[in-house]
Amino acid sequence: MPPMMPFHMHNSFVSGIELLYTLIIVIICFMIYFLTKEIYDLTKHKGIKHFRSAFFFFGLAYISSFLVYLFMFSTWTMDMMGPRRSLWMISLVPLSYFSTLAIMNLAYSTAWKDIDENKFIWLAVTVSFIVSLVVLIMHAPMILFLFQVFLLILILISVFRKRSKKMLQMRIMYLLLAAFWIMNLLAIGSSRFLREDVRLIIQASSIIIFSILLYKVIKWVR
Amino acid sequence: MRKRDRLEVIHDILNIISERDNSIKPTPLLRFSNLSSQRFSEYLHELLEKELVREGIDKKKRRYLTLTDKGFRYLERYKTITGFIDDFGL
Repeated sequence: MPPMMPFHMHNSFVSGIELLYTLIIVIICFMIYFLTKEIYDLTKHKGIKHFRSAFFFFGLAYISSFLVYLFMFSTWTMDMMGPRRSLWMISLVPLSYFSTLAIMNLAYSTAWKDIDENKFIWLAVTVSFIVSLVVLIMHAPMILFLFQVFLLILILISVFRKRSKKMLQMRIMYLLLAAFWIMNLLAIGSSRFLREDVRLIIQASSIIIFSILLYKVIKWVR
Repeated sequence: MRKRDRLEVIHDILNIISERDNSIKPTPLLRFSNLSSQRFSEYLHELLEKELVREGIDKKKRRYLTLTDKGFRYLERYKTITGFIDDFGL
């Protein structure tokens, strides 16, 4: 049997992987956001606008999720055991807010012709704010998880109502992206219980999906 | 006849200006653009606001329209833009 890694070293190693994963995803998200700036500036197309917003908010959501992870598990914050739980709860607010906005913007980017933009913005901001507030007040991140699963089901219904095969493929891609975000959320929430290899599979799959989207963006805007 | 979407109408208007040595008066532009005068006014207002076209006054004090650098860039990138929108289902 191989010798076991001391706890603090194991923890640093896992935190390092988490940091690397966050960096890769955040860089991809912001690259998509900035690479599409010109075509948005030229057209002011609402679909492009909300597509960009989705990746901008995903970037912020992944940064927030790293902060949540840091306050929960990392040895970096072990010294401040007292405020750690409060910090963790507070860090759930931007996580809830940005990730809900990201998923809603992504869904809206393909459905903007059906719903008035001002109504959508009002709805998205209000819903994201309420979800964040409920998570904070009730100290229950599971609410966020359940709410985003509910959002995912709504998107799923809209995806399969569309008949265009090409659009269907892309929407399935968006669906996977949102699904892996939610799995990532679950992975953070249950880090103590989830096996490391399962976490790694979730992270690798997320990176693959984000990379495919980035590749497709670069292919068009280069 | 297929209804043109907003981006296509903008492309067509910019293309008409570009093909006429980047200078055209509003009345012939309205005629070539195949739009009603009300829709044409809305599009023209949008193009001026987005700085895709610029309005000038010639020596005979007549209004003319010309493309800005951004307008030329729109024409250059039009296929990329529509391809991107189609590909991502936006």
